[in-house]
Amino acid sequence: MRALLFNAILPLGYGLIVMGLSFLGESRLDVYLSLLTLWYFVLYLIIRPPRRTYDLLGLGLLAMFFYFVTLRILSIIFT
Amino acid sequence: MMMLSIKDAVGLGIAIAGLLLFLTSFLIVQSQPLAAMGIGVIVSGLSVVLTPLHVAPKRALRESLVVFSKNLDAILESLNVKGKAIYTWINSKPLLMIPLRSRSVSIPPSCNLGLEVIGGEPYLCLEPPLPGAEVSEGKTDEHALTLSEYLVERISAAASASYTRSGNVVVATISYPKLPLSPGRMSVATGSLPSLLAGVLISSEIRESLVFLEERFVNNSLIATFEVISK
Repeated sequence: MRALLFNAILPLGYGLIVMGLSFLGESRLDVYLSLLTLWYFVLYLIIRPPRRTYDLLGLGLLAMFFYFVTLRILSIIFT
Repeated sequence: MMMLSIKDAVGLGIAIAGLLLFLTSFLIVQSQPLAAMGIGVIVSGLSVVLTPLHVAPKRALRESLVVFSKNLDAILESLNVKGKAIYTWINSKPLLMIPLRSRSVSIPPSCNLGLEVIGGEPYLCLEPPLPGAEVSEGKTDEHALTLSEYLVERISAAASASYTRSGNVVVATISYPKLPLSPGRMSVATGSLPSLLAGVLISSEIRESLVFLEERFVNNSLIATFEVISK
């Protein structure tokens, strides 16, 4: 039941996030991906869906999030 | 080769569609919102793949089997059972029949669950537990799991499990069983829990009735021997 709820709400939220940011005129991919990652973890912590193994997807999203954060910090430092 | 379940196939399909959307929008259309949507679809698809088909954890399934075996052991002890278990199936449902007084090799046509006297012989009839076997991937018969599929893949109760048939004798070999071996009455009547499960699963698979003969423990493997009998 929790897995079904998670798998149903996750893409729904993604759709709303992308539509919302697109409506606001956002054109940076890292902003989109950061919010998608944030939504994944918020939902994951609230619903706690069962996982077959370790949450590799969450790890991947987190790695991607830190990659973009690092790029952003570096661009601030060196500009 | 591991079989892909419908759920996994759907999840992978969604993820691949998301990948195509991402590549198209990022490289050709060069639209960041669409590319982000593509990644969102990939994540949603992979989330479906990562969702387990069986919600109950393997350890919980094993524990429930252990509780069943303890209860059965106590019942067999209190009834002072001397007979050998008969593993049979009626209407694709496995049935465990234990003659209470002596070893019986004739199988009654039917047996209601519980204690029943059939032809002057008292029997204990049980529906053996196969927790987690109710939902088997891509199978319509709910008890169609093989010995290895159930013991090794579904509940991780052994390193490997197989059986051989030679004439009327079926020998099941279960390597490194994780389920406890019963020292009580059960080991005489039905065999330990792994043997009991082997009897149930093999009987369902070969659609024949089996009588438990004996079990041995050799080189970390439990070897259970059954005799095939006709109904």
